[in-house]
Amino acid sequence: MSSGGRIVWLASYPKSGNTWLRLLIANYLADGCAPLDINQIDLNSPYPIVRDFLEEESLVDSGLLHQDETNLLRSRVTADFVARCDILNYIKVHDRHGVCADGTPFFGRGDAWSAIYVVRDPRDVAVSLAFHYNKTFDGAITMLNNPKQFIGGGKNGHSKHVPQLIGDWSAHVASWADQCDFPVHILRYEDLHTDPIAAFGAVIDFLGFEKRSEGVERAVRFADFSELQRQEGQSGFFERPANTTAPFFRSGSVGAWVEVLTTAQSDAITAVHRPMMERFCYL
Amino acid sequence: MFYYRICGLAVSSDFAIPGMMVATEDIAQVDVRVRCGPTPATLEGERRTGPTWQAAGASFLLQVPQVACFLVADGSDIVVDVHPSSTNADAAPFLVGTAFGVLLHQRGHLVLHAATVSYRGRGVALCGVTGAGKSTLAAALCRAGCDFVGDDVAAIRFDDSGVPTILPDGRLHRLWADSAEHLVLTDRLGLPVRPGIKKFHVDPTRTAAAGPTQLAAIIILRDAVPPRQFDVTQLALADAAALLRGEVYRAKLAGHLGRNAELFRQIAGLISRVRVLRLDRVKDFAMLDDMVAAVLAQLGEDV
Repeated sequence: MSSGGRIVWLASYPKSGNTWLRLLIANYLADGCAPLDINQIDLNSPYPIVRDFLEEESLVDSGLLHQDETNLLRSRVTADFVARCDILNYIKVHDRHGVCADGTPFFGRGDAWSAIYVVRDPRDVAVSLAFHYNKTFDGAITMLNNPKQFIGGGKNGHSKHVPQLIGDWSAHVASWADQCDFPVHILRYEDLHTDPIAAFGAVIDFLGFEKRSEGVERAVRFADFSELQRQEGQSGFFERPANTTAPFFRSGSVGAWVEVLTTAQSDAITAVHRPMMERFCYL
Repeated sequence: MFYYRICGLAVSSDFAIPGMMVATEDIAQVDVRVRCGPTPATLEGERRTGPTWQAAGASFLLQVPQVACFLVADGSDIVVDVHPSSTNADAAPFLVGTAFGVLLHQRGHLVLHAATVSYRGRGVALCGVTGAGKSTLAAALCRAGCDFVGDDVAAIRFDDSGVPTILPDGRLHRLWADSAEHLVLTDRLGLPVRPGIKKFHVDPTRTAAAGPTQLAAIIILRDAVPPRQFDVTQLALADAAALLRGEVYRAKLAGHLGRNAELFRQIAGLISRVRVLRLDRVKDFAMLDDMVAAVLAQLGEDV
């Protein structure tokens, strides 16, 4: 039995820069002389929302579980996984943090756990969600404002992924930013966009690595949005949903909502999320 | 007491197991006893463990969070300890699934994760992971003239001359609501597999005889990479052996239970007697009829 590994949750509301962060970390760790293939990001860790993985580890068919049981199962499988390994794992997650039905924290508690939470202006998130899920802007805003919003799961349990409760944007941010179960580093998407060297450098500091400035600079260059778009244009990206024609790395810009959302639409977001938007300087 | 015939074994149970075909014949000797009772939190002795299970000697403990714990022992006893907030009906699918699958491993069977049908009196196993579409394809094949044998577990037995056979796993079809609707089986829909889950027991339209059916072909289901729609290919022996090890029910656990060498021998014996095909296909109801026709055309060659 090993002494145990660690998990760093790479957490965010969907379409907030999670994939960009993973590509930055992957390029930093690879320390190579060319950008990593976006379809071969190997962060060397399981993805605990995949039904096959859960079933293989737990012997339980997740399609026969109710939501609270699924969450409990995921929590136990990841806790078991981290106790058995001896490496640092970076695992993407879009769920809202919280507690399981038995009162234990969904995403762990203590020294083995930490999180980097990417937060993005919800108005830009709405625009990106609309393209990603092939929804109208109003549909995306409904998603953003829905306390009971789920992703994954699919109809009738056919999906490869279990359903994940993301809830509404403000509650999602609060669930990660204000939890006391483990340390969390908050990364504003806008800061990563404006000054990627400083913002990603802070991520490296949080992870406790000895910072290699040239490594940070190179990772930023290799995971630059234009490079990601170039690769997706050339060979596609495996995380792009089949039901949309928009590229996954579509715009990546900051403040694009101004061009596309109506005043009524942006007001519908700020009316619900004003306190959290003010907290993160979006208003 | 309730009596069932599962993979050829006579099973008695303290409680009714929904979706299982009740044994119609007189059962003189029970092979497996299922009873309600307390289960230990941990097993004694040297253990292999996972997040929800423990294995020690001839005992195996499975803990399904908030549903039930199952103690499976000696290939003949299953104790079900239902969680206070749950019911026997909630525990049932996990009992006939993992708990019974482990019991079959304890008895030394070659157990594939497969739905099974009979075509012209010869058995066909449809292998794949949970959600691969085994049950839907089996039901579609039955609509096209096959007889239903089993839904999820194929315990393969070799007769005295080494011929592999399959027996009914005692289940009905288990289909998600949209599959049943597409296959025009909604009038045969029974209880949900578990209360609150939109997957249902569905009475098969055609059923094979209760006795052993010679297994003639195994079809391994895989997702096709678009733009390919579907493709049926016969596997060479070495490829078939390697892929079939992964199609063993609870394949990784079988290794933890010390079954690797025995399974290797059993699979070697199997592939010398059956055709092993790989079916790559896109999961799309619109493709189902074409896929069934392609599968039957392949099977028709020598089944």
